[in-house]
Amino acid sequence: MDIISKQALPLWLLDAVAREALGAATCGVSTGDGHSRIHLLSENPGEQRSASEVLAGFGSLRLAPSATTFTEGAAEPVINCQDAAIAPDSELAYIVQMDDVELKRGRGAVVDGKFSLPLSGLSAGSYLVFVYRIGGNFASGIARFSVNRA
Amino acid sequence: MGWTTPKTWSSEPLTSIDLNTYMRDNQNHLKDRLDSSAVKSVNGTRNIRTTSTIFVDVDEENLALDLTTHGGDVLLGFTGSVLNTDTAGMMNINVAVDGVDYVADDGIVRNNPGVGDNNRYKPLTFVMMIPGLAPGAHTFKLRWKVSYGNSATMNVIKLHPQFWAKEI
Repeated sequence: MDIISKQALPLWLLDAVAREALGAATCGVSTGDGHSRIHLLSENPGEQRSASEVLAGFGSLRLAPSATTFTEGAAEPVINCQDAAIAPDSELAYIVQMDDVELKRGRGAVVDGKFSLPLSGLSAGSYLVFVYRIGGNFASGIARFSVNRA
Repeated sequence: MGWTTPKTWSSEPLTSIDLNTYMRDNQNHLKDRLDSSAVKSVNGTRNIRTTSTIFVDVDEENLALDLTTHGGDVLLGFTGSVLNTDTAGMMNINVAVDGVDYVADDGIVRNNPGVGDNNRYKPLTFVMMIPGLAPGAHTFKLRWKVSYGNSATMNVIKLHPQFWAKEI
């Protein structure tokens, strides 16, 4: 069965958080004109609830990049999150995309309710950083910035 | 109105009852079958994408057909343009008839449109026969799936896929 949101979300970001939240209970996600779907393999109510939370919480985490424009080789971008939703977390997951291509993914620590992700060695381009909870309501957030040539 | 095997006349009178049954009704049946088709094209503002590793509807509204048939064979066809993000990834296509995947296992067609260039749309087309379908209302839906770690995209913004069903 499908759990549906009436907004078209970024496919691979939704796929990442859906698989984190649901594991083998999902076979993937689909997006199209004005909708996004998480495909569930069964009608388990708990899984339906988790999928609904993933969709409802998509983009709800407030992220703050240290700036929105950087220069190659100068100050390095840092993505910060101090959203109240992450207070109980010890770790968050993240994906970094450059010009719509995944650059890296991983996990970072939450210390005293704060998450900080420094990014080094970035070349010129448009960047998107997706940060998501790996427990609770699977809230997620997106930050964008660009790096210009020196 | 169903098909009635035509009678072989010998020397009996030609009655209106027989004419209506064997001529009018059979002609109507053949014409109804000839006229029986359903077709949809997709014009969208966002392309359709999936990461699903089991068959799911490509677009449950725009690539789904309703057709009331008279019993017998139905021809289905699709023409569209797709790409894979994974150059080694697979995309499989199937059709669901009345909510059930018509072909088992990996479906009707396997395609690898990402090979060589995963940023360029490639044509995908197939025609298939659904033989001996019972008379009545039927739904036909285009379905797809991809290999794990791959995503499929169907262009509906600048290219406009067509899905059709025709009773034959």
